[in-house]
Amino acid sequence: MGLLDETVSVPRRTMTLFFLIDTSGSMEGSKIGAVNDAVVNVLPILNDISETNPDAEIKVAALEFSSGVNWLYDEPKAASDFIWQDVSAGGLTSLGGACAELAAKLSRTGGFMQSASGSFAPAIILLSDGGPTDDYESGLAKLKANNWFKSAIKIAIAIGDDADKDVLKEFTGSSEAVITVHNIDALKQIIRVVAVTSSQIGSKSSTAGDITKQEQVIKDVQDATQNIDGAEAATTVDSSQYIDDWG
Amino acid sequence: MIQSYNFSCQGESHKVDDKPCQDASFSAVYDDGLAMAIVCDGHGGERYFRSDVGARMATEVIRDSVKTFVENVDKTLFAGKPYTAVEAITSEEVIKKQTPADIVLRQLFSSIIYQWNQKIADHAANTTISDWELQHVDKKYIDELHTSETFEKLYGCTLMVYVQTPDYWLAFHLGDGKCISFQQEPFWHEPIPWDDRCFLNKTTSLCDSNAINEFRYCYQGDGQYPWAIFLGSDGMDDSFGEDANLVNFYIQVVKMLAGEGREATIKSIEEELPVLSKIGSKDDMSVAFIYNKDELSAHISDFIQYQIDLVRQNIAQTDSIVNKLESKINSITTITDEKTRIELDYAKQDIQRAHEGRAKLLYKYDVLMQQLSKEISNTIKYGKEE
Repeated sequence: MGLLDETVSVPRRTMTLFFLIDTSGSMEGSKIGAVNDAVVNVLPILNDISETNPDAEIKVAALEFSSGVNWLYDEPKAASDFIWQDVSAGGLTSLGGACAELAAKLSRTGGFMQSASGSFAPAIILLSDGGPTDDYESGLAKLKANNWFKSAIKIAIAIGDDADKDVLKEFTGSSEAVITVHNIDALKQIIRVVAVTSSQIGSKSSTAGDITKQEQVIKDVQDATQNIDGAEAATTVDSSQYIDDWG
Repeated sequence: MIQSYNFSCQGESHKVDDKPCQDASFSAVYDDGLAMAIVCDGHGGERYFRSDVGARMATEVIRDSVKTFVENVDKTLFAGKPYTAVEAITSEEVIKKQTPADIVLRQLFSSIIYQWNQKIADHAANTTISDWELQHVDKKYIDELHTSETFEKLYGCTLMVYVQTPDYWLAFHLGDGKCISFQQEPFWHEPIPWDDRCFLNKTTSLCDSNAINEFRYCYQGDGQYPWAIFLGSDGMDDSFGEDANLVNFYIQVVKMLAGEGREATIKSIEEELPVLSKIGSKDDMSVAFIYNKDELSAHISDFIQYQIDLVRQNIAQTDSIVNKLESKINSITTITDEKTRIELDYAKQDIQRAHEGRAKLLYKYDVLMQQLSKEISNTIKYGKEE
């Protein structure tokens, strides 16, 4: 008999990457098409990161919100298994509802999370092109009281100048974590950069130096943003050198 | 017969980063019947570059403080008392309602904090910066050693302690890691209350300004003692995820102690914890435990039976999942859209995985049943020989 024989389970640690996608009417057309295209293309990369990472497995969950909220699947799926179902746009922007729904799932009881032992903090990517049309403050308040959310890597992608960056800043906790994109190519590239960077850093046992994973993701994403035409990591929410171009 | 053991080893990620093992552990059984187990876990961030020293010093201070405490405390404060558990203090009101036992324990904790601060202050003042520190640590943190009023952060660590005397036992904890005890009823539990502030990579710490109120503890003096109690740093519980897996590992240790003896068990722990770090948490690993050899030998069938029951439960859960998936698959008679097709594919994939998982559980079940059968045979044979 050995201590680590066939009767002992040592499961892989996990990190869940959440996509929160605004599918309101204003996203219709090239914006929602770019989101669908970008997420489909980034999933194989996330799978590569997961398979070559000795520290943790990456799982993916996606929540779309418009007039209501809808999880693409009723549990997080391994990056290798996640089949993207194209989302379509229409309706309002229930960001508050999305926050409340996310708060409910960032839990072990009836939620998506496992024991904190053996888990890494999740990474959450919020994409939106407008402002909330519901009572987002109460939903966000629930989310901000959630321990998993407090520990999470949080990045928001503001799609165009109509996105309410103040709300996105409130969601992520800092304006540095809000990346603004102004055209389709920038949107696709930023989704890829943010998803890959969050997954790489979020699923590692340790960070470089003494900065948090959130700080490291922001730094790496901001560095990458400098090389993407039509994307800006605004240190001040109102500054913009670009004009929106959505084809 | 009460025995103890402890072991700490460098984590896989620390090997890669050329960091020392920042855990420290201690255990002993003394002639007067005092038994003690300690695990201290130094913090891992760059700022806490002397946390290995902090953890080592904490074990020394705790060892000496506890010995003095047990020798001098009025044992009637604990003897005869039922199991009592006290959470970390979050309100000053709680302090006003403290019992005499709470008060003497608070004095013990205060003494530990004071002596640890003295020790690390001496170390900070009298230990030159090492070549390793110059190479690996940002200058701003090194400068904190002599300029900051909060230099103790650099030595920050958690602590977890179990103390057993002939009259009572007590345990206290500050920070993360897990303490698991085995006894008649409940078969296993975490005797020390948890602190929700310890979550993912966040923990309370001996270096916190409010550390005195972050201790949580328990004691019992009615003659009931754990058969075995295990203290593990967070590297251990992060390797196993769910508590049930950690408990299962400790049961393996118990079974090995009873079946193959102490030396074989120690050899296996020292060989396998570094392996566990590599395939699990990558963190430093520490375990310290106190056990009653006679109780473990007498109850070994109970430990195996617990594992068997757990596997049975898992098989039942798997069967339930399979039934639901089969119902889902049977309900899809025609594929009308892409979403339905994907859901059907997932259900088929999940059902295959569930069957594979079930086969592994059945194998586990067979292995455990064989162990139980062997144990019962030995008991009958031993009984006949007697």
